[in-house]
Amino acid sequence: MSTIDGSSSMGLSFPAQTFQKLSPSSYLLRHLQAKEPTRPSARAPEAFRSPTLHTNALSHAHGSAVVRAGDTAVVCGVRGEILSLTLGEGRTRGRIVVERNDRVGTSGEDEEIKTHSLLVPNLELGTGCSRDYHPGPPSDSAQSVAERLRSLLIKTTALIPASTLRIQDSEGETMAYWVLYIDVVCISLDGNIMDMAWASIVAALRSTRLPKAIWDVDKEQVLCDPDQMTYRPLEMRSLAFTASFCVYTYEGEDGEESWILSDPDEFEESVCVEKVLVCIKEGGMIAKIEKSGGLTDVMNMIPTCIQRAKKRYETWEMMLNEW
Amino acid sequence: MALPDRRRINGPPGATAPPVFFSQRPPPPRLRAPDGLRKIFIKTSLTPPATGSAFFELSAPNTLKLSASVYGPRPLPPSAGFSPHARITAELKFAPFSTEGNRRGYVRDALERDLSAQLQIALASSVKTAAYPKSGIDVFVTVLDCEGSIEEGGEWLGCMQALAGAITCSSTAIADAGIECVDLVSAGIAAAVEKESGIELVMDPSPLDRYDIKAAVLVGYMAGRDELTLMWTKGDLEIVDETGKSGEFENVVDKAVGVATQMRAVLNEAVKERVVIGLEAVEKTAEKRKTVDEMNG
Repeated sequence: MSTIDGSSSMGLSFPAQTFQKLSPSSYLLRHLQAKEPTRPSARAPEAFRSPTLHTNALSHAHGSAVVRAGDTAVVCGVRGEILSLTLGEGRTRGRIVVERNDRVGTSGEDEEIKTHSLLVPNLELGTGCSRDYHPGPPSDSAQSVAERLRSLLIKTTALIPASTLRIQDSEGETMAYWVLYIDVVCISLDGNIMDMAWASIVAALRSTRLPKAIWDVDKEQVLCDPDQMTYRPLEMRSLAFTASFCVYTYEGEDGEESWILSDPDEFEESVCVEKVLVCIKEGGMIAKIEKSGGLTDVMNMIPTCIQRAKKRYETWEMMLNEW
Repeated sequence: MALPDRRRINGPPGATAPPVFFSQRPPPPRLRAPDGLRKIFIKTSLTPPATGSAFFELSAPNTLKLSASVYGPRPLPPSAGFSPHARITAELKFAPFSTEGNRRGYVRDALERDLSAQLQIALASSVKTAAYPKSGIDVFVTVLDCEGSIEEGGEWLGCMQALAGAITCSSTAIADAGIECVDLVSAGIAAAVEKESGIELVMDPSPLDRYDIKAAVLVGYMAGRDELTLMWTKGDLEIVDETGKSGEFENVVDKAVGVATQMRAVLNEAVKERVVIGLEAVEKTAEKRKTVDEMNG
């Protein structure tokens, strides 16, 4: 993987891989301080890994996407299930009435998604995708990634309007909802799970086709049309994609030097303390900026990240539109 | 969904149900020759962080897909105590979107634990565990897409197919990891099905074929040594028939072994492909080093 051949060019008496294990920080620094700054994976600091996408590969899911970039690969499957608003049997049978604030704007609609938990994203890392994640209950870091994805989906981008999930009777009254279970399973992990998982969620939702659902008044339940030609896609608000970066800082005699690395892999994530995430929506609008760790001058660093994130958005958008 | 899993994002507190269709028109049964096997594809090293990995897929219109990754041999924790042999563990998990009907949860249930135990039995005898004392070898299999249904009540052929794929895929991953083996294990299934003409023996039955299965056998077979590592049978088969000769049971097992042997051919190709790539890479670095040395004089 490393283009710096063995030990001779670095003046070491042991192979480069040993150097990487003994002193990961200096190993990365040597690469960045070369005449042409580079990384151990031979990428330029501003280069992202180019992604490939396959949609609708799964037979039991209403929508699915497999995204692979470098050595990171994730599979996302979207399954719709029906939440009936009528609960109980016999005497205790009652209806849940949905009161909607018909205010102008999107916040009134999305209350339904929050109240009824209509979108359920989850991330599974315990699949043997990497040495650090074992099968079993998710660790704290895995849970936090899942929560960040949920927050991006429901609050930041509000990707799916509640209107597309309602199942109404002939009078337009909401009798039931579609609940979308969005499960992301990581097959292989080499850093930057956030970007890959988010892109796979967007691609899978884009490819989702739900059956046409009708409220049957006599049976008092929702029935669906088995004819695949009547399946409909989901309505989506603007597309959004994320770009992750990590920042490596070095305190030398001449002062502080820092490099912003796009799309960090596992090695870079373990060495760098400072991480940035930018979420871009359609039209180059910034939906979210997250920064954690480190003390680099934000005013100089964030604009670069935003520029790179906008370019990355175009890559993702082009890839998605090809499907 | 009785108790919500606190560590996952859960759905609505009221239960949700998969969509019910107003007319159930099952797809017509696929006609395949009784001795016809489905085409499989195996690709190795698709999970570079793992020591070895393999991805197993049936070609369309069949849909079984699974991924296996192997870690090891790696040291056991000190609490495990001394063990002169490597400890092999296998974990099989169905992804939530892999099955028909209800969505599977993330918590391992009894079916997955059972299949994991069977997978471990099938693989354990093929590895030279004596060569790796005090070590653990972990095999993780994720089933991404099942063919047909796998619910236990009568649809167990789907489970068997998933296990058969898992065994072949895991063995490929173990070979990809470079772990010393006595032989590689491939799995095959054969069934005795009821047809109007009587009982017929079918190789590699799929749940989508909609056979009326009287009995089925899954074998884990080491083709090089002609040994079975696992046998799982469902249904009633005669061991000896009225005349005293060996009955249906042996015939079905022979057919299953035939399927496993053909699976082995694909397994060998997948492993060989990786070895050839590795050898070419070694040659390239040797050539590069030669030219660098020549330049340096």
